[in-house]
Amino acid sequence: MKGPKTTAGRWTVFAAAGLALLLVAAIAFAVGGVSLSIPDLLSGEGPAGERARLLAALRWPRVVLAALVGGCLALAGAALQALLKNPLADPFLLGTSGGAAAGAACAALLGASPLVSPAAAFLGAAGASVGVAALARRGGRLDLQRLLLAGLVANAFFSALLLAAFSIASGEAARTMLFWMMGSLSDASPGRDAVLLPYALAGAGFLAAMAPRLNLFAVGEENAAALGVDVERSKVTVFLAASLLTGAAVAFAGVIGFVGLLVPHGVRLLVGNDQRALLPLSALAGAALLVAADAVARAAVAPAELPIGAITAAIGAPVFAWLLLRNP
Amino acid sequence: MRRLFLFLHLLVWSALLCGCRAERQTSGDSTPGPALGPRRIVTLAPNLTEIVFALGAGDRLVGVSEYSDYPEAARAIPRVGGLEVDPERVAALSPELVLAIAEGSGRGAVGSLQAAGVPVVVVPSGSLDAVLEAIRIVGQRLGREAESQALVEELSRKRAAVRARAAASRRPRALLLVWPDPPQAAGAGTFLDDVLHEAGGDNVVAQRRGWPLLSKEYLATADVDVLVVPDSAETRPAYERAFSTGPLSRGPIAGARVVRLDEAALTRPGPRVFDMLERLSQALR
Repeated sequence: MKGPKTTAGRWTVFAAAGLALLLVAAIAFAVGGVSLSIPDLLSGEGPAGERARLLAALRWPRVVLAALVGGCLALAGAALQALLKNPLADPFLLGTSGGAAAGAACAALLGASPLVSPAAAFLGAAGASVGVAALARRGGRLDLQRLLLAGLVANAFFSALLLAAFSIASGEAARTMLFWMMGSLSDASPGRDAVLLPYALAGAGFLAAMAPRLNLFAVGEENAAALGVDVERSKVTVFLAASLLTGAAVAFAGVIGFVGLLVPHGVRLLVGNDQRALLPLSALAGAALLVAADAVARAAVAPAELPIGAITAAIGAPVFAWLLLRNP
Repeated sequence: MRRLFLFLHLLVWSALLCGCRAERQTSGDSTPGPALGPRRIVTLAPNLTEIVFALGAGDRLVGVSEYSDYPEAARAIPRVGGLEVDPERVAALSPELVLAIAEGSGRGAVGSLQAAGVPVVVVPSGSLDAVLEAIRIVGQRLGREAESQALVEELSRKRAAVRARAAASRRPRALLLVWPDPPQAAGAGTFLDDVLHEAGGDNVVAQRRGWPLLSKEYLATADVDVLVVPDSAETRPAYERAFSTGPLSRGPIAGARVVRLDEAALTRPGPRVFDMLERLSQALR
């Protein structure tokens, strides 16, 4: 097994990854479609200082949102990959994100408060996960081919649902649907970051507690059971935690694909398959990836913005193809 | 023959005056003269409905597009679909003429209707010039040349006064937002850019074509004198939120002068846009 073997070694790697994330966030904060002068921000007076402070007030919540959403998606992907023992698992490909978007969109259509939209998205995500897992089960185990097919069907179903809602919704509601479908970080605010944070921490906490059991899963469910792991309960917990993370991310940023696929893979190449290192590092790397992708989205076509999902898909789809070729 | 024609003419007119719609006459000799034009008309866009009414031929409309809500009488006419026009519903109305615009609604239906042998006229709609051209074309097809000529002259007079005013004064930096959040503006090449420019404004997003979605950072720091906002029951709550807590609440944009214009009158390439042009021109001074 690659990667750090000792607890102290792991923490050193985490600290380094955390610093790297901070560095990426600082760079992302400094770039954008409108240039932000750091000297003006720190000591500017008059209109120049006001302008810089206004830009900063708009930009930092967005960087934080990108980090939280990226972390949630990557963590959910890593957990699903460990649980299903399948490197192609990803909340987007398995239909979990689509279910979350449909749940959040339904809540929005019914006029629910934005505070409950993560909960609605979680219900949608959990429903989608359970449905896909049930479809993919064959003789008591999850079949790889059936899993991807079931994810495909779930995605098609949920995007059809969203499209139908989009065509009957009018004006504002229709634009909300478009937001869920396309994915966007442009609605960031300190308040929304603050609502997302506890959902993210809860999901991450559950998964952190499950990491050692996920390691045992890697050597086979029978062996894990023999070692005293309550396999079915562990599976359900991980599934629900991944759904919670996906739901929270989708509720605040819409459907953003491939982060959950891409990031755990890259991290696994570096540190191997020890979930105690893989999960936290995936969260940090996912945060850094989405923060960087969002900086590109903001800066590339100013004064407009690129949809963030287009950037992650542009990186993610070729990587997925490469993975398929490598894992016949 | 001439007497028969005169008789039919009177018959049709009396039917129209009674408020009934003239029914289709099928007998060979009774084909209407060119001055009368088609009597069963379907429009596939609300601006076309407004043009037909403005030419005094609203009573010949047997079907209109979903959003045809002006003038009031248009509301009672059967609908043939909104963004997606149902060609079968159009055909079921046995139209003698279908009017469509080249952009947007009904594009798919136009092909199927033409293939089925229904006469369809597609008129331009992308600019103020196009609106005048559309009025001329519709007037000609409806046998209402005199009315269309008078309307075009009246609208052109309004336009000339606006142009003269725009040429004589400084152009304020203006932004027309078609939606506040996510903020979407009228960029170069759009109908609304044409309206904004002709009214005397300097469109600050003229370097972008189409309908660019603007970033909140750009909007918060943009140097804008006048913000033009389409106003309707549907857009009002969204703009109010944007002005109080959303992307229009902070930075220089929050201090820009706001001009609210009726959404339908402003955004539809019909006769009413020239009134909006006048209003905008006065507000921009």
